[in-house]
Amino acid sequence: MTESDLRPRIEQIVSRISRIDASEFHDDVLIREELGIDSLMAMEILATCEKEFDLQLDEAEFSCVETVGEFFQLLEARYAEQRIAG
Amino acid sequence: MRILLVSPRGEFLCRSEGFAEFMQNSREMRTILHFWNGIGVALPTIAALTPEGHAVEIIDENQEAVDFDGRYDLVGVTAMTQQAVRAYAIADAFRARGVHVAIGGIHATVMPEEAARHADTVFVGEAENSWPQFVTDLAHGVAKPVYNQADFPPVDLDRTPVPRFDLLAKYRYPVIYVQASRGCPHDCEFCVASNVYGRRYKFRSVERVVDDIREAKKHWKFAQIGFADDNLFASRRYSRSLVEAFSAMRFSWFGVCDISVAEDEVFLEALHESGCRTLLVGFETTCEENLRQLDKNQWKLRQFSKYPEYVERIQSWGIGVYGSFILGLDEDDHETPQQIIDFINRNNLMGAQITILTPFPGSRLRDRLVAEGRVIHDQWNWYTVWNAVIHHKNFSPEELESKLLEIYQGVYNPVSNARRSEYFGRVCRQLVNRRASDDERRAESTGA
Ligand code: B12
Ligand code: SF4
Repeated sequence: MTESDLRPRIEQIVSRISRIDASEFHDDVLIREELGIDSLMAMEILATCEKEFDLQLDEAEFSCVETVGEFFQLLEARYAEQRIAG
Repeated sequence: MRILLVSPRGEFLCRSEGFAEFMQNSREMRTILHFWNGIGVALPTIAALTPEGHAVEIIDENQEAVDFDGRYDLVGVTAMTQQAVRAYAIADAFRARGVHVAIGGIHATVMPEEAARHADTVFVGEAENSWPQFVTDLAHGVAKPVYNQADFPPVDLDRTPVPRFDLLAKYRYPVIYVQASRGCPHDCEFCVASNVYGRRYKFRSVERVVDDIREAKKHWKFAQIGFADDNLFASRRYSRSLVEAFSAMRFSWFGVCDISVAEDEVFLEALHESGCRTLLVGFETTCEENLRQLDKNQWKLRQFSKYPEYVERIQSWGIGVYGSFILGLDEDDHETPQQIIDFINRNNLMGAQITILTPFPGSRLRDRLVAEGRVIHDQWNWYTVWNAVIHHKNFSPEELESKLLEIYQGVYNPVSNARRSEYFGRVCRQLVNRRASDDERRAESTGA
């Protein structure tokens, strides 16, 4: 799987946990203030992505993320790193 | 007629400067305030109950200023106790301009004579039956000074129309409140609910609640739904069908309930699946003697020893428990603040609302504290539950306020925040693993 295949799968996870339609995930949308994703939902999203893509994610890193686009970038970057390391 | 409904500006804060500073500087407190925001469902409901042929507007003064020179024939104001002073100022200003003013809500219900000094018409209790009658009476010039629910047939929540959320769509709320049930058979000393809504539970049918949520989601796509119910899971059969209906929808929500929800793991799983992310639970105190005095039927006391296990169980389903605690109960002493902090931190509660015991008018608590000479004043704008308006045998009012701040600081500080975050990280990983193995097991058993 490439990084570009990743996005629809992450969208599906975020949509299932946040119960928001994936069509709303535009890059500039604010995760907390606009989508209303709170910290517990965010942690469940991270834990699910970890399991699904076999990643190590750091909650502290996520706390710096503000928009949907930044979130996808973070996951894609971790995924790429992991593949290089693995 | 042109009708304006107003929710007066409310006070959240404590008069202590230290508290204000803490609120400013704590990211967690700012997040709490972000979500602890919105408007009750009373005014959109009243708007929906208004007979046809009248134009209705709603103003939430926390969001927008009232135009006192606007041309209105009738202004309806709502108020919980801490909003009453502002509500009266609004009422006085419109009456001075010759507008008919009606006032209703929890404060007017328990203080009708006081409210009548500022309004032409006072509503006592629920208004589903009385408001339409009043609007018609007013249009015919025969409005009465008081409309009391007790003079009308009992309110049937199923006959209440979908709230007019469209009138609030101009505001960006993070949470929209809806109501599924009303009434409470318990009799907690500090609470006014049963005086206002009665002791018997009544329910809105699941289909109507779903309609309300659909309407809310039309206007606020991403808002969480908050339930205004005092105990959302009073009837487990009703809550099961509610939750089943929510599972097929797309929204996340929170509600208030008692800790016994933890007894049913199947229900907890269904709750999570239905989008429930937070449950607000009234623990009230960490002291058994206080609990004994609080609730006449001792229900909470009997649950006391199970609190830690039950919190763990609820949170293990990815549902955060947000606990509420009261400081200033009779048996509280200088150990209490630390005990509350320890309880919250040790049990990894997702969050907590700690308030100072407040003798709201209409409560049994007020009658007792007045008789004991312990109520300091009736300046309702300080009845925010974060200011001390009582004398306590072990704390001065200033101490109660500074101890309250100490508790918040003990709960929301970098060390506890990091520990909580680590705990929830673990909980979520376990939840995800458990789900994955459940899915595998299910796949195996269906031979897939
Ligand atoms: C939603 C809610 C909020 C929201 C929105 C508040 C707002 N400004 O609108 C938020 C989260 C912001 C909030 C905050 C607070 N809240 Co609050 N909140 C509620 C909650 C859970 C639901 C309200 C609701 O929608 N009820 C359902 C409606 C249908 O009932 P209702 O308002 O009584 O309306 C009916 C009648 O009273 C009448 N009516 C009401 N208004 C009017 C007006 C007119 C003109 C007419 C004709 C009739 C009428 O008709 C309605 C239909 O029958 C209630 C609990 C509860 N069960 O009500 C607490 C409650 C109202 N909150 C309370 C408190 C103390 C607070 C805070 C002061 C404390 C705090 N720190 O949390 C803050 C201050 C907020 C602020 N800055 O304004 C207390 C009030 C106690 C009291 N005796 O005054 C309550 C009762 C909780 C409790 N059990 O202690 N709250
Ligand atoms: S505090 Fe809750 S349980 Fe107690 S009487 Fe009020 S609504 Fe009922």
